[in-house]
This record gives sequence, structure tokens and C-alpha cells, in this order.
Amino acid sequence: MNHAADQPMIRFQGVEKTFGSTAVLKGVSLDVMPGRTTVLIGASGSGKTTLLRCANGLERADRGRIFVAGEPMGLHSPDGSFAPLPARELQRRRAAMGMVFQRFNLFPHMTALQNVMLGPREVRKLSAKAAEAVAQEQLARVGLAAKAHSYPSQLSGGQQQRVAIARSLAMAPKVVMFDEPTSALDPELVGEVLLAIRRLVDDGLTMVIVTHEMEFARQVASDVVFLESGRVLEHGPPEQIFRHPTHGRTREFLQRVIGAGAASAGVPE
Amino acid sequence: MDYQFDFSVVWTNWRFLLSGLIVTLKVTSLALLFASLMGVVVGVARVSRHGGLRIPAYGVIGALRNTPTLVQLIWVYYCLPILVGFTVTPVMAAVIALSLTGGAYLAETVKGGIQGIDSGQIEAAQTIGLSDLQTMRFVVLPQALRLMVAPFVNEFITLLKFSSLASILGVADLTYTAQALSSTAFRPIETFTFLGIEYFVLCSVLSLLARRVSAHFALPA
Repeated sequence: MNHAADQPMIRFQGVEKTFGSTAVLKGVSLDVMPGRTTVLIGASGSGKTTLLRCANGLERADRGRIFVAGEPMGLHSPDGSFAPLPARELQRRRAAMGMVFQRFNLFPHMTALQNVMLGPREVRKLSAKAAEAVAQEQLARVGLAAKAHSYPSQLSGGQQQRVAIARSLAMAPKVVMFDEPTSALDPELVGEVLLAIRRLVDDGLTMVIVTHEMEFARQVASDVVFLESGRVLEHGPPEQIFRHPTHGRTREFLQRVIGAGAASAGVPE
Repeated sequence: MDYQFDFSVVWTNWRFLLSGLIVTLKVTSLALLFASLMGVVVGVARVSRHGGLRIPAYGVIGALRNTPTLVQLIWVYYCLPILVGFTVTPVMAAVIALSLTGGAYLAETVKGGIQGIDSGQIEAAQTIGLSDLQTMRFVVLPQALRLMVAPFVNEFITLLKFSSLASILGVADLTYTAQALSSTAFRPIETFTFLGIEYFVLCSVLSLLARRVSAHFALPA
């Protein structure tokens, strides 16, 4: 990693995205700083997931600029429109950006170990031995060394999601993006995944997390970003957003998800 | 009915009939091999993002699936030589025609298998930086092909049955040898009954094999 600490890891500038006639992103500008945990919150449909997907090219932004580690994620025309990167270049960039999905998306025909090894072996071009060592190390990091040879169908949802986290870490990414990593989990399995993510926060990994777990957000976030109808409405440290939101809409949202009065009174410790 | 069955015609000519069986298996196996290769290539092209691949694949599959195999066989034998300028032996014609017809059906199976893979997995493959080709090779095809084991063996059975059509070009397969025998020994009922039994046994064994093999390749539940 040779990225300057004072330069944003991801920079969104006026990003716009429309699906059909629905404008999902209406000019989002946001800097994700290295070594920090940026948490995106907001109601369903506010554009959080789409913003993540635009960052690694799973969706193509209609207008605006996106830079990852200072490099543009697409070819920008003077009129503000946006052309995708050539395939090979896009693959190279994606390899440096981890993504953890709501529904895990493990490869069901491979063991946990094979899932995690695939990227190091085929994209980073490590030897089979080195790739396996990397994979074992990352599985151990999420507490699943003992499950290396299990297939996804033999693992609980929480374990599958931790394998998915290990899979993205095995690419030695500069930044990892989490798209509602616990939303598809049974309540009793949420804790183990949040714990695994919290360890990464402690390791100083740059992360962007979309989540509805407000208590978790409050505890791990360096920055909280509140999106509302495709715009960044509020952006600040967690104590500010959760205790003293400046916008009525932020207050309303927090009250709805945390419970009446909680936002204004502060989240209970 | 006062017909006296006499199956001795079958036993006394078993070497001749066996030679037909070997030809049938040879033609069918070769056709299955080429049909499989064609099926994977055309099936992958069929779901390609690039119209330059997708549209020709669509056309080829349509043309082959909507014409009778017998017509394809005759066309390959009589028309192809005129167009390409070299002669085609009956066996070659049979292998080519059966490969094409089988390939078109398998391509549809491959297409279905590929489309059956959850798009989330493809996105996951993309986010770790795999190319489209790598995604196909490591993520999509291993799963799609696993699902296709049974349809694949079914295609083998279909090709085995279609291979009997090659006898009209003079390919000395099972059907041809039975016809030859019945017209020299004047025992058509015995020879053709035996022929039917042979195809039945072959195809039944393959069906059984298909079930075994699909169970073997199934993912752990």
C-alpha cells in the first residue's frame, strides 16, 4: 500500500445514477479516508448499496467521477458523462477492492478454503502453496481455520459470511466494502459477523459499511454518512450524527430505526 | 399365429452383429465427443454479452433444432462434399451430422445451466478481479456442467438412437447389419426384435449410469 494517508481512498464527485426513470443517486460527493471506517446509513432505497456498487464498477454511474486510491474508475468526458474502464483495467482495480455481499455469494462447489484461495491463485497469481497459506491465514483471522474444508452448504449463515470476508481479505485489498453484511442473517448469527468486522477495524483496514445495525455503526464508525433519496444529507463523526443530528430527516430516520426518543436523547450506552 | 420363431439366426451370426454394435458405439461416441465440445462453445456463445457471438450461436441452434436429423444426415453426405470440395465417407457424414444435431441440443442445455447460476456469484467473482473467462471457467461452468451430467447422458442415449439413421447411408452399424442379415436369412422378425432388444439394453444401461454419475457429482447437501 503506497497510498498517501491524507488522500481519500475513495472519492465520489457528483455521482449520479438512474435506473429507468428512478434517480437513485442525485449527485453524491463523498471522501472515504484511508484507515477509517465509514458507515453509510439511510432508509432502503436511499442509494447506499448503489453507491458501493458504482465504486467497483458493478454498476456504471451515469455522471460524475469516482477515484479509488487516486485513480479514476472510468474515463470521464468533459460533459460529465462516464465511460467504463477497459475490462482488464477494471479487473486490476477490483482486485484491490474487497466487497462483501448481503447474501454472501460463496461459490457452492468449492470448500471454504478453495473459495478464499481462488483470487490469490488466479488473480494475484500466487503459487498454489502460497495461495493456500494466504487463505488459511485469512480464515484464521475470521475464526474459521477449523472449517477450511467445509462446503458453504455445511456452514451457518454467519460462518458463510465470515468466509466471504476472508475471501475479500485474501486479495490484500486497499479497501473493503460491506453491503449490509448482516441483513440476511438470523439474529443469533449477527454477533459473530460484527465481531469479525470489528477486528478489522482494530487492524486499521479502510472500510465502507452499509448497515442497519445502528449500535454497531455507533461503536465502530469513524465517519457516519446519512443518505436520503440519493443525496448525502449529513456526514460526521458518530457522536455528532447519533446524538446531535442537524437535519430533521436524520433525526426521523434514527428515531424510526432505534426507537422513539433515542436519537435526541442519545443512544443508551 | 403359427409363426415358428427361430433365433438361431442371431446366434450363428453374432460376429457380424457385433461388428455392427462396434460401429454404432464408435459413431455415437465420436458424435458425443464433438457434440459436447460444440455444446459448450456454442452454449457459452449463446449467453455472451457480445452480439457477434450470441446471434450466430442463436442461428446455428435454431437451424439445427428445427430440421430433422435424417435431413441433416443426407445433406451432410450429399451436399456438403459439393460445397467443400472433398468427399465425405458415410461414417464421417454420420459423425458430423450427429455431432451437429447433438451439439445444438447440448448448447441449449449448457445455456440453461449457465443461466441457472445465481448472478450474485458472478458478481462475487468479478469483485475479486476474475475476468469473464476465468469466471466462466472456475465459477460458472463447474457448477453448470455438474447440473448437466444427466441431460448429457440423455443426449448420449438420443444420439445412440439417432445413429441408426446412418444405416441409410450404408454405415455398417447395428441397424444396417440387422437389415443385411434379415434380407439374407429371411428372418426379419427375429433379427429386428433382437435389434430392438440391443438398443433397449444399451440405452437402459446408459440411463442407469446417468443416475449414478449425477449422484456422484451432486454437491454436498
